Amino acid sequence: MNRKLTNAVFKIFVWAAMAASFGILLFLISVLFWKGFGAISFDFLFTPSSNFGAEGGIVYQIVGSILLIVFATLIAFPLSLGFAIYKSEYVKSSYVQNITDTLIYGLNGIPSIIFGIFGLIFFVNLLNTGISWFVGSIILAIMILPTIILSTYQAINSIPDSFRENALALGLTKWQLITTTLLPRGLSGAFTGLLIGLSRAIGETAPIMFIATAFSGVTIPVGFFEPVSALPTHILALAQQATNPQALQNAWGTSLVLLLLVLIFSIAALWRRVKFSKIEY
Amino acid sequence: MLVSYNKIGKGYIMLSTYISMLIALLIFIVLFINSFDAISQVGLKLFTLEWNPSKNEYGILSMLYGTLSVTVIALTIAIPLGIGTAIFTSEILPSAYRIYVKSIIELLAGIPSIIYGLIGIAFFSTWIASFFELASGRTILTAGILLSIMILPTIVTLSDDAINNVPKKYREAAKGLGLYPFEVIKNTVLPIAKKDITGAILLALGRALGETMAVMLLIGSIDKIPTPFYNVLSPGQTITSKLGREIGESAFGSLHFSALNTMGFVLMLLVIILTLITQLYLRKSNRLYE
Amino acid sequence: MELKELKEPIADIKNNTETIINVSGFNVTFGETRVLKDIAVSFYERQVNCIIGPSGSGKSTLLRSINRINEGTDQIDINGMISFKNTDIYGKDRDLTLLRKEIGMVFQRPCVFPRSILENVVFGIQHHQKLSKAEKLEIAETQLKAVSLWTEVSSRLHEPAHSLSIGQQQRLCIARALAVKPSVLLMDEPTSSLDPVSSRVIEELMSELKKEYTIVLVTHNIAQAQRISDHLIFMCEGKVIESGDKEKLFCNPDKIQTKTYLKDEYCDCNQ
Repeated sequence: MNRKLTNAVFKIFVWAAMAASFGILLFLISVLFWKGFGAISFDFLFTPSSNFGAEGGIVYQIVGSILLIVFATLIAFPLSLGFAIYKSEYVKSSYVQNITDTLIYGLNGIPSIIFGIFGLIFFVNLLNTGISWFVGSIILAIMILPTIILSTYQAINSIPDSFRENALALGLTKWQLITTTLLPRGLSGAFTGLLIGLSRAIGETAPIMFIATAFSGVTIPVGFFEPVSALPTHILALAQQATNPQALQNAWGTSLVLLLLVLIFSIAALWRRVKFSKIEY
Repeated sequence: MLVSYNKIGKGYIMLSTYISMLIALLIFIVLFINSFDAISQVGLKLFTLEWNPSKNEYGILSMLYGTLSVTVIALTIAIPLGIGTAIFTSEILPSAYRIYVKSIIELLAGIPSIIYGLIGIAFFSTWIASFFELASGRTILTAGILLSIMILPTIVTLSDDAINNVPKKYREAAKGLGLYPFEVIKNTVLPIAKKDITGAILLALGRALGETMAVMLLIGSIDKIPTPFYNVLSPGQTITSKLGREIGESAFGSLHFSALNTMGFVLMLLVIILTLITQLYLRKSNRLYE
Repeated sequence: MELKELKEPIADIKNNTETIINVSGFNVTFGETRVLKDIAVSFYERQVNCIIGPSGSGKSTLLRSINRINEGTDQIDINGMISFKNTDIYGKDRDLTLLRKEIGMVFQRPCVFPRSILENVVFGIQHHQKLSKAEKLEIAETQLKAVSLWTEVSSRLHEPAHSLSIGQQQRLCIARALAVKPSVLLMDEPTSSLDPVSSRVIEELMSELKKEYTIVLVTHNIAQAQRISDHLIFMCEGKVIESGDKEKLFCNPDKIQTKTYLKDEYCDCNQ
């Protein structure tokens, strides 16, 4: 009888934990959508902000965020593709394999604010770029490197060796082997990794708040070394004036726009993962 | 022609490898060099309580305390809740629904931390303030609670994987001996999944230590260890919130800047070591019992 | 042992016709596939009841339905009746835990828990009753002797069970099941992952165990069935083709399919 009781208590605990977890998650989602939809309008999306963000819209913040991740993609994608091919096809010794693993996982573990500090010291001060959206893109690119590298590496590494042996036996050079046999699958993996990385990069505040963004008076940049406005830093500024209901209202609107952008990337990544996980060699 | 393409290709691959590795090392070196001033000039006085740049006092103990206490609160809430939920999704939920529920949880893990911060300011801090009758709801406890919510998806999804990876035969063998579901899970499934679950917790711990935005908005940003020290209903400061608040205001090259850098460096080392231990640990655990 | 024979003076085990488990009108469907079709069969007390048939014939499913271990599998649909000592196994208030305590099971591949040998033996029983250290040792000794493993492991009870050979692990699993004191032992191809020598040891063990326990054995090894079974059930494509005494089925079966299968190990059920 006692065992039965323990079992029942345990069952209640598991159900309660589940209810609490999903309750919290449901609360978060409904708050964001409910508050956010109240704040979003056509004008909100397509007019610039005024009065320190409490009035007007967020058009330049949207432009700024997109600019940041577009250039982050341009920098991170080729770099990580090359690194992943190196790791999968050129590294022979397990010693080097361990070093690359350590670097990738180490880089992946660095807290985001540390990247901001690094950017502030190295680019903004030592290289004297000043506050620059391009530096922001570089830093975001560094942040998402490990994600893309790992995803690409796993894709390429899952191709059986018999494919490589057959291609080489037909007299292909290593580079031809890579472009014809390995790259199609590798690119697919890289793209999934990129989507995951971007869903994270677009929402990051800490790495860009000292180095890439200014809060007000910014429009579309004309050069590489100018600040932009971005959605997450805009939310930060508005959250700090949370006592002003107007500012809070705009913060909810901006949050929902940001969340939808994040979801576009992460749902696409999820969809690709489910779709391509079925591929078997 | 063929050979030259081959060479260019290899050149591209090697170049991107070297650049990536250089960047990783550069981050480490730059932070280390900039911490050097503070380490040599302030030295052991870093481990004191007072932080006052105008008097050249740079004690980081309150920040260390803040980081520690917030993390402990977050883990205390998130571990039982997360593992309980993972047991639900892997053992009770029909497997046809499991992939959907897991997808939703993973999507939620992607909500940017600044949005958590906003929700914390708009709801959690007012709730805490009115519930405990405080003047301000920005306390260590508030930040800890919010942080626990932020790391919950990590613990749930990874623990769920860990539990789900335990081969079915162990459950059947235990069930066949007449054990209740509770006993099957506690004595058979969890001991085998223990290593991977620990990995999940370590990973969540790393995230909690490095989390900045939400904590910065909610902790109150006062460089003090509360009295008594377990009074988590008072404001505090973590390493990350300190960095977020002050690094923009300190002059590059000053001792103040260097002291902040030292904190950042310590945090980075801590989190990197934790991450590497987790990786090593998980790699070694690769399915001992199949 | 002697006491038992006194209790049952007509202890000619072969002719024991007491049934302990009765299956009637029993159907199992996984998703769209009907795995068991209208099964009606009986298992006899203190005999080796052997279910044979080609792979995919549903013999494992039938076995696993007896202690309801299939439950919890997705999309499984069960109807019909299995009774055990004249009570309905699928009855509404049936406590699965108590049922499985009464009806133990040994699986195809030995599954030892990542614990010591001693802890493995008492893994089940210690949940059903509080045990002192001495009692645990005593139970381990009794059961390990029952599966003739004691001499091999008595000096290393505290070593991890994974250090044993596969054949020893399987005997450990049987000891673990016996420790719970069931009256029926379900065995799902217990020798199929073992070498011939270990298989023989387990077969001898079964012949010994049937003095105290009812054994329901699933096997695809016809020679094994011939060696140790008392009562034989032949299944094919989810149906029971024929069941009866071993001698009858081997020498003089009613159905041509049974004859073909037992002779050639080949089965075309639609003959």
